[in-house]
Amino acid sequence: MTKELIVETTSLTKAYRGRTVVDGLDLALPAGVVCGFVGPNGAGKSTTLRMLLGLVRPTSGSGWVLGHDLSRPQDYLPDVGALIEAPAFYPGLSGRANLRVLATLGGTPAARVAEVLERVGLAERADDAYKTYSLGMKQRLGIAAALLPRPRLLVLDEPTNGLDPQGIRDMRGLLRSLADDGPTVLVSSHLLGEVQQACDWLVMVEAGRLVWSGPTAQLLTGSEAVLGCEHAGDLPRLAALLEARALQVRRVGNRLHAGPLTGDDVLPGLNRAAAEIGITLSELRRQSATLEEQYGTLLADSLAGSLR
Amino acid sequence: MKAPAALRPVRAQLLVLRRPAVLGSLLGLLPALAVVATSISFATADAFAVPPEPGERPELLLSALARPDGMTAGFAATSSLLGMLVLVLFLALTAGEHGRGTLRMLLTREPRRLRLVGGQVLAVLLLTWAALILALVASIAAAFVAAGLRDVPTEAWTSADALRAAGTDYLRAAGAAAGYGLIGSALGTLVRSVPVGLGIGVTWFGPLEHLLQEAWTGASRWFPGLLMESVSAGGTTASGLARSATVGAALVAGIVLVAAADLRRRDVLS
Repeated sequence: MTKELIVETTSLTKAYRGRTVVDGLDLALPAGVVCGFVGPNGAGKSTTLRMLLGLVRPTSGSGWVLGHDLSRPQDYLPDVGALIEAPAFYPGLSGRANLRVLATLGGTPAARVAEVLERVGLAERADDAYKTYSLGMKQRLGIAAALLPRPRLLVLDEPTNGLDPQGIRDMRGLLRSLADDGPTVLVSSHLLGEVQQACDWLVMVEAGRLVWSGPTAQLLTGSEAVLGCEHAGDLPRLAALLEARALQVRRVGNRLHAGPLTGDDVLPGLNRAAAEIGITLSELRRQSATLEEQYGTLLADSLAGSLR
Repeated sequence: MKAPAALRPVRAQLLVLRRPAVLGSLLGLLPALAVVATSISFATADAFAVPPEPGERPELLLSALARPDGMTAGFAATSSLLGMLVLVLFLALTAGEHGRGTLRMLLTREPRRLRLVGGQVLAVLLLTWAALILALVASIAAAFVAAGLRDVPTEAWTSADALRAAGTDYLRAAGAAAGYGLIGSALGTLVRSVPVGLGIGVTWFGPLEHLLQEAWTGASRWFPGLLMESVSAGGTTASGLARSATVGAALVAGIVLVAAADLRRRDVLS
């Protein structure tokens, strides 16, 4: 059975005066995932999110959100909560009054305002003017606004932007708790460590094109061996041994990193083979790939592909 | 009870307008200006008439102030000043939504752009019309005080004719305010920047139209600001009330249509 797709785009493209910002993007976001939308600055993340929210009109291509055509945002936005870039509210109004404006506009019951303020931890400062809020509080109010309609899809564009480490930790916890409530979450971020911890689905874009899309676990299954020798002079022979086993080898200080490892029983075999040619290993361990490393590799591959 | 979906933008905007700064500027400033203008009208009214230039309103005479419509003559004379204030207010509110980025937040809850902005404009217009009622009342009160100071008889001001005249003056001012407001909103939508919009709007509807009026007599018949001044004054020698209202409404409709087309199509990037 095919899993329900919450967001789907086909060849979605946006160009401004001849400059293509989003270039034939094919997205398929299954229901119930927390999806990290990552890519360097200018990769087209915000433009893509704006197209999904009806703020920016695609130049070509098509898309569906919650089963509705992208050209009719009024059909699906009542079930979508969004925070795009920096939160923007009326500075002279309180947090509560700002949310009342949005609730009134969307036909959301007024009682929901208090619920979402409580949910994001802003209930105590809800009656203070928005202009007196710290950046973290502004971001939380933005999340509260996104939660107003009890969304099936939550779109958050760089929700940790400008936050201090404590604010980032708080936001990560908030995101996890939001995901537990059931909506599909699409969150763009530069902070790959945060994405790795919070997201179970990844979409990577670069120069407006899709680089990779799929479960985070699938991307991070690749791991490598880290090897150290008793005698540093043995490293070239050890590297040759590893390369003969079709592993890619790089030297980092007095250690070799070799990968990708394909099975669980590779390390004992490497240990025996090294011993057979007279090399005593001082270190041998498996190291899982981080999102940052995989991201770098995928972007480099993508760049090389576009240059070919 | 839930409001009909089409009225939600109006109700939401009324919540935004409850800010003291906005209420103060509208409900306080308009009546204050009306009082000042009424006082000046009475203070500068002449005993003898001088024929007006084409496009100019006839100057006020003390004898005219004693007529039933004299009670609100000061209110009618404030039209251009009130119009400019209304234009600035509508322009600032509309362009400010773009500048602050609040429009994109609002559009995630009401993606039908024309319904959203149309509702916002209607809400500001309702408040403006309420402020004009206060301005009319304040102006009448000031007129009674000023009449006492300049020995203008006020017996005719308590007649049914005076009430009718006040109603007519109000409707003209409300119509002109709608015109100025719609132009301000359209300009704010098109330029999406408060400083740029104010620069264009204040320059054109302030000195420029009046300077061009000096050089070209047709200006009074075709320029939107001058036509709306004519409407609120009950017509001028260059363009009567019916013509001013018709041509003015057509020009405003044209500007609003251009702005609406732009609003529907243009990307929201701020």
